[in-house]
Amino acid sequence: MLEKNRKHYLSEAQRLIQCIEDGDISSADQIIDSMTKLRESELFKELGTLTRDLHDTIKNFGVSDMDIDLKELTEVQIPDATERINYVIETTEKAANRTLEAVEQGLPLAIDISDRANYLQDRWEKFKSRDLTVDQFRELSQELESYLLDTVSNGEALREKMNEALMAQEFQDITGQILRKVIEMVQHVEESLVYLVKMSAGATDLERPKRPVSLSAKTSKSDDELDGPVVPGTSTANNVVNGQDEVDDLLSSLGF
Amino acid sequence: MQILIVDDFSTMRRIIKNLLRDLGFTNTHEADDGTSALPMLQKGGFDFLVTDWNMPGMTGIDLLKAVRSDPGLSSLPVLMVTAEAKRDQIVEAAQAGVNGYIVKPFTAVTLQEKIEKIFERIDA
Repeated sequence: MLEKNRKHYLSEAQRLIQCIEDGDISSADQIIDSMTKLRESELFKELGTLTRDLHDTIKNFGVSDMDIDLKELTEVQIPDATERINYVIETTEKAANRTLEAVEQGLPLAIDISDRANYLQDRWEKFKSRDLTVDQFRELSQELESYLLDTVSNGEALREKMNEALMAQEFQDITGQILRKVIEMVQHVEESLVYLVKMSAGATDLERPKRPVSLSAKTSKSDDELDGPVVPGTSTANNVVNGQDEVDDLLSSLGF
Repeated sequence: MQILIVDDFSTMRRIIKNLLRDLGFTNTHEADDGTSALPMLQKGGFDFLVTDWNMPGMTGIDLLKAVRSDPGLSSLPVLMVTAEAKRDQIVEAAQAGVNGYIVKPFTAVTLQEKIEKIFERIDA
């Protein structure tokens, strides 16, 4: 607290006690208000200084700094991360719908197979205990035939639906890879901000946070670096194939 | 036929394992990256390798190169199933001697086609 403020606080506090002792409540309220305002304005000044320091520190880094490139961070990486997360939401939604559709289409087939088998088993028992007339048996044998035929096609369709539900789960691999990259980026931003705050507080000899390899600019990216799944609208969507057909075309052009 | 499935995501290994079972390949084994896959392959007995590319430890492309340079494994058919879709990468895999390349997301039909194609060529 500054000396000038200290004196001001002290005189105000003394006046406040006097007012309370005299029972002058409205004056006491005024004094409390004015002291609160003084406190607030000090806070604002402090915040202003901190912001200016931070701004100066950022300016001093320059946008060409290799490790904390704020320009790239704000213009490329954060929009990239936003695109990636949006893509994850879309992908998981699609996968959930695809799974639900497969189950919704498969369930009636399974119900048909089991309900009709129950009925036929019941009839078959009656036939074995000689409870069916000749006409009833003829009817049963027709029902059995059509049940077997339907079950061949329903069974095949059910198998397809099950495979469809299975394939829909591949989203987890794709979204997992995308989210790992976003996590790396968020960690980098956090480390950079902590570094900036420490710098602006006057700390020296700080080690600059290392930029994760996956966030490096294209030009400095090593050959080993992997992009992972293609996310439309991000920096990964360059010079990539668009689906399996293009892979096949490329491979056949190489003599495959 | 013994098949080794290599992917760091267990969900993807399960998907491929179930698809292969549906195609009639019931004898499958799993590994989560190249480092654990290579010793399994070197022990012998595997007829087919399905591998992802992007994995911690040893990547799929390094596993492919290791397989091709190992005299005991050099002719093992290798199918890559990966989200890596850069043209340069597909060319690199082809040059390293991959037998098939599938980009994720893929379909059961694609997997079946590529496997059939690989064995047709081997039998030819």
